[in-house]
Amino acid sequence: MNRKFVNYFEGVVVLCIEGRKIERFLSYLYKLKIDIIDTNVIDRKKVIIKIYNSDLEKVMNMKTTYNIEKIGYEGKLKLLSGIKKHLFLVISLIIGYALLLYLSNVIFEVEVIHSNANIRDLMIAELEERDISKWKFKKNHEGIERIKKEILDEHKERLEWIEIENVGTKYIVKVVERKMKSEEKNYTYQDIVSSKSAIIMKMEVFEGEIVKRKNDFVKKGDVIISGRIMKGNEVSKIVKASGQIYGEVWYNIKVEHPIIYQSKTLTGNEKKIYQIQFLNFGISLFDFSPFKDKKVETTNVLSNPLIPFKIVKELQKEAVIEDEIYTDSEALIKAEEQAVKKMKDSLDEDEYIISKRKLKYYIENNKLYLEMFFKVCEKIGEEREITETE
Amino acid sequence: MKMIDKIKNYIYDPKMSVHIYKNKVNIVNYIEIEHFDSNKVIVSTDDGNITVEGKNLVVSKLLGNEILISGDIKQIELR
Repeated sequence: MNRKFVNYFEGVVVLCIEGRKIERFLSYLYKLKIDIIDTNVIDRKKVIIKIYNSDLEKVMNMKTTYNIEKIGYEGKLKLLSGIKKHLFLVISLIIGYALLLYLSNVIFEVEVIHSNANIRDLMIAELEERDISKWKFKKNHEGIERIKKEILDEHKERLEWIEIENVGTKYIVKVVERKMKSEEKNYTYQDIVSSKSAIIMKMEVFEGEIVKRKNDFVKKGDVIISGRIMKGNEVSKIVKASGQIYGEVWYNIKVEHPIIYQSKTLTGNEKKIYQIQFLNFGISLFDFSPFKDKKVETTNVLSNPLIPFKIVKELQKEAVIEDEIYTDSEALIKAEEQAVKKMKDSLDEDEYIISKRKLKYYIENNKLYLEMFFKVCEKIGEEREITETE
Repeated sequence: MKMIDKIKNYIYDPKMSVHIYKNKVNIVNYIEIEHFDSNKVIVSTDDGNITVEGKNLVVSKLLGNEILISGDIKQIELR
């Protein structure tokens, strides 16, 4: 067998032999079937030889007049003696590596981005239940996807969408609350009141006494359909008022839109490459002509939280990225579209924008800031229980 | 299969071979060292005896199936 491969793994000892007729000593070794890996003749009386550690005992036990001195190691033995010699450094490196592993795999902060404190608390509690909290280990991609699905399934009536993004040592959780049509509350007796300040546009009354009429201005909490049926100045009976009220509501929406943007066009060239990723660095294997700009779809090939690197397969699509600048009027149109979209996103199917108007806009730091005024027709009626004490 | 055979042959390397370098001779798969001194080394193989003659000859490497002779080599003979 070609022993070059195994030399490194077997322990090799370096011996200094001194004495007359050195070749005679080498003949002894040959007779004892001791492998000599290397010989370095210093002079006629001195030679340095390398033998396997397993043969050392035989050589040391030889009854000769030659002076045999062990002067060093190679291969596995050199490694072991090196470790012994630099034990402190080796332990420090191991601890350092373990610490690096720990720090790069531990969550230092979980930030839930949502304006509603209840949603934030709900998300934090759900994530904690699933081991996503401070000082816990990070999850892999599959784990995150599973957790997202579990939370969404459990709270499908409250949550629309969740994104859990790993940024350094922090998890940023973005949540979109599900906009539910106001549930019909099962009160025995109720009024229909205004949920916000508005001008009544349309009313469909099913039961109850109409208090406010079309074109009346109502403030939040004002009764529109009363559950108390009046006869003269007295309440003759109390009912469960019901109806659908639409009102004109005013909104101010602020948006910002970049003046400079990058247009990304795919050229049609694509290739598959493997990449070793270590922390935030990536080394592409056999990628001799990398694309300057590209769109990448990544699949994990080898990934484990205990290993600080992973191997991924990338489908790279070449792209041409160009900086383009909007004119003021183009940017204004884009910002207006963005504001309209933002407004429409908050409306139900039967709600609509009545009119819109640009209030003001200005450009600062390569961004156009626009403030728009919207008149919107939306449902404003909500149930309020009539209690016995009232 | 060809690839496996090639790898197997490389690892086990069953043939006797002599490689000559500057001031060095490497013999793989020898049978025995017949004679050895600083002027002459005789090694027996399946294909006959190899005689290396020169000055200050040294066995630089001596493994179970491989020997490397170095020194001022004047002549190599296969008989």
